Amino acid sequence: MTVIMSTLSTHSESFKRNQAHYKNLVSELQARRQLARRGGKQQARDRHEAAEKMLPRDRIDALLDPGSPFLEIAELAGDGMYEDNPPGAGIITGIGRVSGRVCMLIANEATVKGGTYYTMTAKKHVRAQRIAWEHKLPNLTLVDSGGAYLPEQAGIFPDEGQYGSVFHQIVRQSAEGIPQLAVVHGACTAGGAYVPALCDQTVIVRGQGYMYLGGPEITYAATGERVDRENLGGAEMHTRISGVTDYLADNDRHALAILRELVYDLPQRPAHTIPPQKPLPPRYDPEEIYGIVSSEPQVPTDTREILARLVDDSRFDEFKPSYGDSLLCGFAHIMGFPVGIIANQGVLFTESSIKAVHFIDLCCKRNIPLLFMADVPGYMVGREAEQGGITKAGAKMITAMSSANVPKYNLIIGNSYGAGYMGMCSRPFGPRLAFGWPNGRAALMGPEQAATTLAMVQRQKRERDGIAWSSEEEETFKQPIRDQFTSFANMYNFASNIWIDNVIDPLETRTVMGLLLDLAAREPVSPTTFGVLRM
Amino acid sequence: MFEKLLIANRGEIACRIARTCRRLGIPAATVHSSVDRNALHVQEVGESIEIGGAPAVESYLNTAAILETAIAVGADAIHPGIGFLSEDPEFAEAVEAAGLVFVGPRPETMRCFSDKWSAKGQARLADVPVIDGSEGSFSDPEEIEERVRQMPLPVMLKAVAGGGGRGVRVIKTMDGLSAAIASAMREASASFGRPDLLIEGFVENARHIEVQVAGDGQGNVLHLFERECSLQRRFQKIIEEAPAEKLLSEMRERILEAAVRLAATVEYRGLGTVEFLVKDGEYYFLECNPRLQVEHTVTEAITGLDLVELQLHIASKRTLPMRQNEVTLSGHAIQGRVYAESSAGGFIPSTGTVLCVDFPKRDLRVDSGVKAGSTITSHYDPMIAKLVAYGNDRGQALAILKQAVRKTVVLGLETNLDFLSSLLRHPVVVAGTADNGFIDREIQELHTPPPPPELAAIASILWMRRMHTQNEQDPWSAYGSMVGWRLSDGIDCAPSQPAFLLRNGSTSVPISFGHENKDGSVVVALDGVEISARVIDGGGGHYEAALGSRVISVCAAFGEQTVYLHSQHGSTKFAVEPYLSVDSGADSLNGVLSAQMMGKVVQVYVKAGDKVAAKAPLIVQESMKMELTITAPFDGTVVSVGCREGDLIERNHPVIEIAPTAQSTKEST
Repeated sequence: MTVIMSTLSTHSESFKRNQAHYKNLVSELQARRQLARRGGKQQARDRHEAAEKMLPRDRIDALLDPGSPFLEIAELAGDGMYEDNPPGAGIITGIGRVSGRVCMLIANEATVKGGTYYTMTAKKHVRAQRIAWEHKLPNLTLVDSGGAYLPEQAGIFPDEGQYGSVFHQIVRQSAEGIPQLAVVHGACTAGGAYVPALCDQTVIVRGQGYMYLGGPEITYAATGERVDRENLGGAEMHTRISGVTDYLADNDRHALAILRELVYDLPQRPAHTIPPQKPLPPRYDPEEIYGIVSSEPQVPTDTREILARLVDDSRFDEFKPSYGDSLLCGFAHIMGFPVGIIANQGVLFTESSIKAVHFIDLCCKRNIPLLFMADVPGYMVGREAEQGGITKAGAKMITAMSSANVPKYNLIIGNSYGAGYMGMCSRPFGPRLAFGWPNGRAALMGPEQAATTLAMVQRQKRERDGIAWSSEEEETFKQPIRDQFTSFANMYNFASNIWIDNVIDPLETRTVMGLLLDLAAREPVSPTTFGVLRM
Repeated sequence: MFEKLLIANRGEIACRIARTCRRLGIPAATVHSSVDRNALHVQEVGESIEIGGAPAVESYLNTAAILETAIAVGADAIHPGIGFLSEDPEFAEAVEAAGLVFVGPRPETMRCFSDKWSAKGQARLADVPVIDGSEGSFSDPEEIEERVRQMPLPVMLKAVAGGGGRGVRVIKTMDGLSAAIASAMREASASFGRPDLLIEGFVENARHIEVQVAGDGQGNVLHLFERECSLQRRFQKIIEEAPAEKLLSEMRERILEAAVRLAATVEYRGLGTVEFLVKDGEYYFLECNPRLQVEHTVTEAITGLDLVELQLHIASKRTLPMRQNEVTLSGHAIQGRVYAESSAGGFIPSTGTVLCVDFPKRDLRVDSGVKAGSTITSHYDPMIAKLVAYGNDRGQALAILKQAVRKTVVLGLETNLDFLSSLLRHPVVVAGTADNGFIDREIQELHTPPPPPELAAIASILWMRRMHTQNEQDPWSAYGSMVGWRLSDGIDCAPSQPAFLLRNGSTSVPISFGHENKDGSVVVALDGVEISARVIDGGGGHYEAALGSRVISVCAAFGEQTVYLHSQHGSTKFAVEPYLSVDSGADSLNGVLSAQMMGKVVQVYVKAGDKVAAKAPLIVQESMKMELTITAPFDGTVVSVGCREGDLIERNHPVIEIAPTAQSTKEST
């Protein structure tokens, strides 16, 4: 194996400038996380605790094994989308260990609008299920939800990927033998009631958990029957009479203890199919990545220096190092797990794309997971490129990447523009998980190119109509376009929309990847059949 | 000397006898039971024959098997050690009948002293004072009761065939007399095969002084000075020393002479111990033990003799190797017995596997029969080791022993080390004026305080580390710090919920961890008390814990869900229990009982206000030609009855409510 020899100077002005800039980016990331983890308004949380109910994050902490990691998924979902800013879209999702078994935990945030489902709430729930499904993780759902948030019905009711998909994915996962366990912690109406009812085994908390398709008020309005909620859908009633729920708990803690037992009783999960080797730290300090990542859009970042600080022992066995060198392909280990890395080092050319296809094929044949690290302005344009078949090469790369059945991961470490975004295994191509660093940017094109392109169209139109356009006017036209593209490209926009699963600090990357590669290595992978590769 | 010696015993005494054999160049073999295959004595002696199952009657008391073994290994003598067959005259006879030498007194001497009544008679013959009491021993409870009534209280009931504190009861009032008699007789029967009891006055708060004697079997007897064994619990010695401190020399002379006189009257052969009670300037014969004693070590320390060598010499040559004036005394020795027992729980023997054992070596004699991995079972004596300290004077010996007890590490089961530690610090023990009632009187003072919270913090950190290292291959277990890894929000709050409960005795404390700092220190919160500790692994189960500027050394071993810690505070056991328990439900007792079937009530046994016991029938219902009885789920009181006889009741209809009594609630939580 080859150890990357770093040529970095940590005393240079640019290093210090970049480092200071990046530390601000990380502070902003942490501030956003703090906000997302706060839960509902203080008043709502106090009321919740006064009723002797545990807050959802306390439920998760109590449920997890001591010392278990908890990898939160999409915690910045819905960030900035709603006026009253429901933190984390009113639902907490993440992966952690319970009774020795790694599970997907899904908990409604009842202190935010009663745990009701907004558009992003449903999308986040569906996304968490999808991740669990791909990794065959038991779903532990801590239900405390009033169901759909009515004003948002367009985003939760009619389409796939919405509330109905939550039900569908419970059923299909269950059918595949992926355990679906739920605790009913609060009043669950309509859709909220279906979630636990569809699960394999359900615990309900006495005097606190309720399930009904229509609550006492709706029942009265619809049928004129007056009935209290205990008799209509109380825990005792559902456990003793209707049989909707299976286990009766005295309080939240008791319910979580029962849930832990249910997980304990699940059959053992398979061992690793790819045994890890001893994890080794990189030879260079990962914190130096802060000073490597360029703080100026027009100055490129040396991706090789980043790799030297991400992979075990800084060992990166590069494939075809002398061919298509604007794309780094190579074998490495992260936290002891083997991984094939495809990382941009500039524009994608025909040669680099062809190299990617060859490398993806190697990894698929050898069952090595693929990590795509995107920092790409796009595929090369121009006569030379077109005559060299760049479109064919790009298509080939997309075909290979898209066909690959080994676990794939997308990490945006810089720019991810245009078709480059596609080629580097972004969300539409089914990466197991997709992440962005806080400096990441992704869009159809860069802000300047977008402004220039649109201004050109505008100028041609004006020239046709014979209207003069001063350069000041053109600049006034371009600025909002730049602004719009800049804010669109921001990773928090991607995280808020769950186009990526989280924004992560470069320093968290090794740990996150270690946890995920471990999960992936526990399940066999189906062989890859490639789509037709245009030759 | 002998060609080969068979050591018919186990544990520390077998190891100790083997040491003398090795020094004298006498080949030795030993025996073991099926559970002792890996025992230390088997390893130390080097040749051992398995002679039977775990119960002593099948192995260490199995005369036939032992004789067979002796012949098979080519032994010409048998050393019976201590306990088991060492005082059994029939065994001694069988050994001699097989043409082998029994290392011990003559069978008739054993017979004479094994019956406490005949021993008393022998003492009187030798003009040695005895305690007033009934003439003879009795096996009729009514007769015993009658005799007790005729004597001034307090009196003592003793199994006439007994020893070791079994079958002994002190009667201070007439209340419960017959029960005490019955229980003493049961214990006597079970332990010695005879229920007969002896009754004598109870000499309270006396000092226990005993004299080591040796005789050649032809009337020549010498003494090896006295020992004091006043520190006893449950009539069993725990600290022994030689010579006796604060004993007037005139009294010492009288006692030494009396012991020699008594031994001479029976033409004593071999080693023996004559025990006395001393009180208010008087002394009384207690008993004579015709064997080596556990505490022979302190006599060896002050005389420089090897008592096992002396035994072997007398057994093979029938002579004494020295004269009385050649036996000299110098310095002072104190022995502490380390037992597997629960001192706080009434000195009940504890059992289990010794996970880690470490004795200080310097300036100390350690006679031990266990090693790491040894199992203490209920089949045999739970003694782990004897720590024998020797000094120029008592103060020096005591200081050495105190230090030794503190440094002795035995992890894996409960021991009396902490108790010994506080005992040795007590001013009365330091002054050397304790009597044999001292421990019982001062017991509350002697129990060690609960371990300081720092130890719980260290135990918690060690436990979490252990869980991590056990699952090193699993990132979902091994990543991050004590609190588990999270995507950082810059605050790094610890989980809001405790990681587990740590129980010490009956006290259970929730444990929460803070983040691990760069220097490796971790904040541990124990029920609100925060302690920051940095624990460094020193290898071999030893750890250094830095708490601020203070450094504590500990030794740790781990059980299934247990952390055993040894520190300057002694040994402590912490049990790790899950924070969430399915039994933790606050009101899991639901007292509202409903009909299980639709049917007619045919009988109602109770009314509101009635107290009911668990499983008591409350209501009988008839349905589908069957009778169904609703019973009380726990002890409690009937709050209300919701039906009458003859009522037709729907399924799931509540029929009766019971309120649990406080006790049953407690039991269920």
